[in-house]
Amino acid sequence: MNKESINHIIGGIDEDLIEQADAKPEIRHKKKYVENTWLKLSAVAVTFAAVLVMGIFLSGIINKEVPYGVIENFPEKVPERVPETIQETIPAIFSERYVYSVDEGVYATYVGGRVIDASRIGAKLETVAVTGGWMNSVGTMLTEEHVNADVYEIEEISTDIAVAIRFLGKLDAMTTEHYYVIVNPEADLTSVWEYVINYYPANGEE
Amino acid sequence: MKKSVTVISLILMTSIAICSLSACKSRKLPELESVLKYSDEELNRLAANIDEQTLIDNWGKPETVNARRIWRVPLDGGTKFIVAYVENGKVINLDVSYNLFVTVVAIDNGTAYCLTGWDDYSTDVSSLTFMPSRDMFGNEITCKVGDQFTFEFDGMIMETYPAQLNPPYSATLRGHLSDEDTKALTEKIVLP
Repeated sequence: MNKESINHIIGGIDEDLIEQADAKPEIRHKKKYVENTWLKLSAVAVTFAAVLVMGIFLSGIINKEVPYGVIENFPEKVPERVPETIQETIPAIFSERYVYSVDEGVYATYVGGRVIDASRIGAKLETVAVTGGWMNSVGTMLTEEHVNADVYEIEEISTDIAVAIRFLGKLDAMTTEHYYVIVNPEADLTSVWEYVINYYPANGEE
Repeated sequence: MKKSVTVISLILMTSIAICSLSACKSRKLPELESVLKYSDEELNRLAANIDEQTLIDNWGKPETVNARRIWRVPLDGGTKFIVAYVENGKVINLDVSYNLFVTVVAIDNGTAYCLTGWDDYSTDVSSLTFMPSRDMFGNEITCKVGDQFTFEFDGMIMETYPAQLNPPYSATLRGHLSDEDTKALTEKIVLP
């Protein structure tokens, strides 16, 4: 059925209306074009947003806060009281510390320990010369002092493991009243564990 | 259509590149306040996985004392310190400052001595310790017999007699013992 036939059937239509009807396909085409542009732009925006979200998500996984704070039932830290070689583990981190050693003889390699009660002191072994002084963190002696000291057995402890020493003269950081344990760093120190100097009183506990 | 595909591709590539770059560049570490709660083991784990620059990126520029990189963490009751020991940009150790109670009990020839306690002020004369004259940053610590301080320090006590401490990160005067209490303490002390 053509246009003229329809006009004929409905009894005639205004020419303007017919012209408008003719123009409609163009208008429709234009509208369709506009819709497609918005669709494309929307697609780009959505894609961009998706990539951004994915990036942030991935970034979140990579940068995930290190979950170090969630360790549960972690065993209590046990201070390492007896290092394998005492000398090596004396922390260089002390800005200054007082050190001393017997000048010569079998006890020259022994390392200073803690104070021991007089009730555990045995027979006197000998008198030795001792050098002491303040040392900085890189091992340089800042001061040097020389005194004599008496060496004593410790009851029930082999002298190969440890002996006690009492200074006969004044030193900067040692008293003349106390007995100080000095231990053989090469020996099994289990029996004198409590007299080995502990550098890490971890968590405030000894 | 070709133009649109090109634009979309460009946007995609740029976005991926930006996200990847931002992901690689910065590693997010826990806040300083969170790290204060870490156990020694947790601190060790953290130290093993970071370098100095990462710490600075996350926590800001620290104060430097020799190999130590020190961050102050102000809290309600005082300031704590987080300390990284650094060697050539590598973090060797990470530590949180310890609190120590200190009572000055003697001053002899310019050398001050104190008693120390972990949980409270100690009256145990076996804890006699050399009193540091300066803090870690070189500030003088002035004291007189009977003064009671709290230290924030590195937790290291060399258990000689008298014991030895490193200079503390901070020393805060908290109070003063009565003359009577001071005398009771000083009578028992044996100095070098």
